[in-house]
Amino acid sequence: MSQAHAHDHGHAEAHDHHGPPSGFTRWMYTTNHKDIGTMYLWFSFTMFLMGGTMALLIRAELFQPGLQFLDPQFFNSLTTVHGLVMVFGAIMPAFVGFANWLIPMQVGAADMAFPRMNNWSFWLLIPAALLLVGSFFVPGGAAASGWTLYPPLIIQQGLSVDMTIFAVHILGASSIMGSINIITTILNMRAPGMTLMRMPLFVWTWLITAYLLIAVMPVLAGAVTMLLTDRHFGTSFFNAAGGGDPTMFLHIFWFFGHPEVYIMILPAFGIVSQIIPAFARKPLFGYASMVYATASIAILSFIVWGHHMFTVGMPAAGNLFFMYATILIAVPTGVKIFNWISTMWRGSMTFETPMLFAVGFICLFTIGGFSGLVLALAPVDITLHNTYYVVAHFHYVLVSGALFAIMGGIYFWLPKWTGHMYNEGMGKLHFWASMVGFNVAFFPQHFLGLAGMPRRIPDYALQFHEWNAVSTVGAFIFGFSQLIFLYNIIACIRSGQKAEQKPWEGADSLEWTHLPTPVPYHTFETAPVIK
Amino acid sequence: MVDKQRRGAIITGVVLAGMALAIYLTVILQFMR
Repeated sequence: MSQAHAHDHGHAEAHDHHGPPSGFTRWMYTTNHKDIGTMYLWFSFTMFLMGGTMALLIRAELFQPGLQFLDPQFFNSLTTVHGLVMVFGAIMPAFVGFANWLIPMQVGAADMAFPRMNNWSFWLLIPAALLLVGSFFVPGGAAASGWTLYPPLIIQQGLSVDMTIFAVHILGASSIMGSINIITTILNMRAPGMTLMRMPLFVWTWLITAYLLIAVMPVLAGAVTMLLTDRHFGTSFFNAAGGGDPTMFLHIFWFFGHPEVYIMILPAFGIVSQIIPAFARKPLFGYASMVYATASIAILSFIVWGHHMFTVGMPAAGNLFFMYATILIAVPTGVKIFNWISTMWRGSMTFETPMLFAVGFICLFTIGGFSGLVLALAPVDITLHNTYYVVAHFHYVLVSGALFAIMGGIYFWLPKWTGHMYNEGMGKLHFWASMVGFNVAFFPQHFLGLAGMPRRIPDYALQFHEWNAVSTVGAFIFGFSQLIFLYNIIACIRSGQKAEQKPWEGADSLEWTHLPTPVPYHTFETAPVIK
Repeated sequence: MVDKQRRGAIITGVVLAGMALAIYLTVILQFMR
């Protein structure tokens, strides 16, 4: 017995001290949450560059009126795949990457609850991405219906639609498995003393997001399964000629689609709620109200889907219900904005790159929120529906909202992850180039939308020319400034200055206070006790 | 302690996976007629 004990102990010690295996097998077979987090983040960045290239092709075509160099069908494929790649390939995996890296460290767990499933969740993304991007190369080109995949148009296209549907299924399965892992880790693996109301806000936002994902990804999967059977197995879910209803797809899709918007923004709220207290050197103002506001936003997200389809002919009472429910979301969102501002109020603030992105987030996300309120008004939306105003609105929410938070989070945790500091000057240059480029690209799109320019068109009337030209210039500034980001990350990993355990004075979650920099391959094998 | 934690994790995981499957099937079966 004692021998067996001694053997176990020796084995455990050897296990404690070994580093990661080397080469390709390290990444292929890894069950380590940090490795998987890293892979998610690099995957997301790769997809971001791909989706960004598509965006630049779109903007290049729209620089002038008239058809420049893209075939209209290809243009529609670009808008469709740009949307799908950015939503499912760039933003969502980036947040799952953060979740993998941070949640076990922030709750004091050794790893995620189901490490092998974690590995599978990641590797499923690769075939899905290949199917999605590969659909450009099959006869007929990639799906051209817009990322919403509305029938009847989507029923009519070729093989690429089946590839897209299959990709969406795989991505959904990956997200659901990731969410199961996240919820289980948070609920079952917290260190002693780490009560729910002591968890960092990033963990809270992800707990709520993961529930949203489990609730709505199966709804999307159901919708695209029905599309598939309509296309190939003679069903008529969405085919009016067979007794079905295309409008029903809109209802099902947006029942998924609106919570999806919050899936992409709640973890961003979590990241910003970590960054701002660290650089204001004050605890987060109104922690409990932040948690309740996040939960309220998540619950309300299930009863507002109709605001995406005010023009479809719902009864007036339905339009009014969705209008009022949508406006109600401004209340918990406002609570969060005011809490961030109150956290900064009279703080000893400094403006390193993560803080710049966080403050940029608050300013620009608020603009996106306000344009959302404008669109929530049913009578106003009837004129703005399907115009560039909508495009401007959701890019303010998803680029200067979700993406800016991701970039701020990368700069914030990069020293902890890599053990090196990034180049602060280059980080600031990246922020300002992104800030200017983004606003020049997307603010004029409000004017274009108000003037009536429809979205998803490769050509437009002459009066829209000036702001489209400005928008394209901004898009290229924004796009190319991301190369600074890439260079800064690579330079940081390879040759950045050594980082201290806690380079940010005000940071107070477990990864800063209890773990060295860079974090060892295995952490918290003995759970810390939180007092 | 670890066994208890593992049991809790497995139960949570199975319940969540069941929820996802139930929602998926409900959406499709709801609209079959």
